[in-house]
Amino acid sequence: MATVTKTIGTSSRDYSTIAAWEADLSSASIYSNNDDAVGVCYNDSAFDEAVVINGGNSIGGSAGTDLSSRKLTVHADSKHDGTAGSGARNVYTGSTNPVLKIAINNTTVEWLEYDCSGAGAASRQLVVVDNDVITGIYINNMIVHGVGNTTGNTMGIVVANGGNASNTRYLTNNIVYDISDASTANFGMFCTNNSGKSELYNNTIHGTGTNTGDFGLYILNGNVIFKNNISMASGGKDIEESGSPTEEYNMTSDATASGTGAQASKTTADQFVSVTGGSEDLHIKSGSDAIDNGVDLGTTGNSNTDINGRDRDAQGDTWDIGAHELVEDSAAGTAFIMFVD
Amino acid sequence: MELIVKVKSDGSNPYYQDGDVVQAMSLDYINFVHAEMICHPSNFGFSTNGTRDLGTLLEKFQQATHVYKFQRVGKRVRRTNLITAEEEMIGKTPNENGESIDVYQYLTRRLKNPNHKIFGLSGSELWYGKARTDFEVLLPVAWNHIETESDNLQDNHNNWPFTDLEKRHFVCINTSGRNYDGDSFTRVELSGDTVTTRSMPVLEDSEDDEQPMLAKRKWFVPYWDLSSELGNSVDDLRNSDHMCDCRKPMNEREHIDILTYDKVAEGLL
Repeated sequence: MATVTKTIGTSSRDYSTIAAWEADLSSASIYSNNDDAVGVCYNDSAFDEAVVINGGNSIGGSAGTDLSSRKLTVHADSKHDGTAGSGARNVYTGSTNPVLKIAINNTTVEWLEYDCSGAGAASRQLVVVDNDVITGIYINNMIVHGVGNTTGNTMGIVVANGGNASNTRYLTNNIVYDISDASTANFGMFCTNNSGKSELYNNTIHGTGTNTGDFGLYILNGNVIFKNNISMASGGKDIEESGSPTEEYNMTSDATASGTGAQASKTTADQFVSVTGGSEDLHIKSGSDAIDNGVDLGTTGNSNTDINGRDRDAQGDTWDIGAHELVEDSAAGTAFIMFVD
Repeated sequence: MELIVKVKSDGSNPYYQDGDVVQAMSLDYINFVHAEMICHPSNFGFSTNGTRDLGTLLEKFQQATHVYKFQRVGKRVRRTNLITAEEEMIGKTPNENGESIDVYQYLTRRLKNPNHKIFGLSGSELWYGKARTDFEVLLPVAWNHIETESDNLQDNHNNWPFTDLEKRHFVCINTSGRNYDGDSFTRVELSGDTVTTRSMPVLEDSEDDEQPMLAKRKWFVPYWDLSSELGNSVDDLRNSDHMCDCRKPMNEREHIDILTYDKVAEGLL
């Protein structure tokens, strides 16, 4: 059992595409039984591909010889800074749906940006956890935004059916915005009615649709737990739910945040650095209602690592709501910038 | 169009099958990827105030590949749509679309990123946003800048940067279409749906949102029957220690219909 790390990018890496890395996960010349496969993406150029992750079983054609886990991540020097275009990214222009499907247990996807604003009409769902994929799923620190001219049921991150209250599926510290096309039924993050347990912590969702049938967080299963999420500026409700999921310390621009620590009916413009189209920056800003109003989740589901890579748990922070843990700048290390009115 | 093709099956459907097209790359996308690497921020320096210099190849490439230009004007930002030339001033107070920006906090955070793309002088910083994907429009402009301001020629950047590992574990090929003039023809590049469909899965025909995947890929290359066309033996193509690159110059490329087959049309699903 070993961790086998391969690099992915177009500048002299091991693989030039994510799809090629995934397609080699069952290669016996690389992997052995119970290995952990890690694909490390680099910001050499934008990827443009739809990928289904289900490889790593029956390595070399031998039944019962399987990977222990798969992780698709980004090299430290290629991580985004919380805004589009700043790190390793998939700018998808094709028409496959979904654009990224996680179709096997024990899979982590983190630190990638998915920009689908130039995708075809059929690409309605950007990141999907497939049916009955219920164990060891982590989607962390992603930036997911933009859809093409789809025809409805457009979704940023989706958890499909399967499992029960014992699932281990974590969606944490993701930024999801501009999941919005002209039709109704846009959803920022969506857990289906038969999806069983998923845990959604410290995500930030903004600008989901413009119609009353568009929802930022759409939670339809009572086993779901969602805490410390920001959902704002949705066409319909910021949070729509059924089945009595567990919810605490969420923040919305409408009245739909409820439960302990809820921050409801907050002004969107007071929260984020920029909600300007084409230059979005959903870091919270000084004075935000999200600051110090979250609940400490320890290290559950990697919720401790914020969108900048700050470890809230190790730093002893009082947790903010949303993907960003705001730390006011000290003089040291602050970029020089002059402002003159 | 260039293709990377799976060697050996990973199991029965819906896993990869021997010969599946893993990924297809159009010439436009290949040209774009090379342009991005040439114009990567790490290849450019900083001005004395920590921003990037205006008028550089980096800035011209950013302008050619984005929809919006943003320029700070005091505590506000002028957003210019580079396609329509429409301009709008945006500041802390939301506009009618709810858009707002805190310029100080925005720029402070960006400038800490060693790969930032903030240009110009303090007080009038400039940046670009929203990636364009209309390659047919942006590529001629971008490559004109690159060829004018560097030693790189677009014609030298027409091949996908397949890695050594990929050349050993997969079949790397290219192909072409044909334009007929009477009995003669010229080989032409393939684009659009012809490229994107080559790496699509086969989904169950269903009205539901969740369409089960019947096959991971719809198209395959029966490389085991194409030794002469690919210029490599099947044994070499299947040998993961042997590096094969089956790509050919344009005037020698096989037609796409000789190399790629639709599993559904062939009755294999």
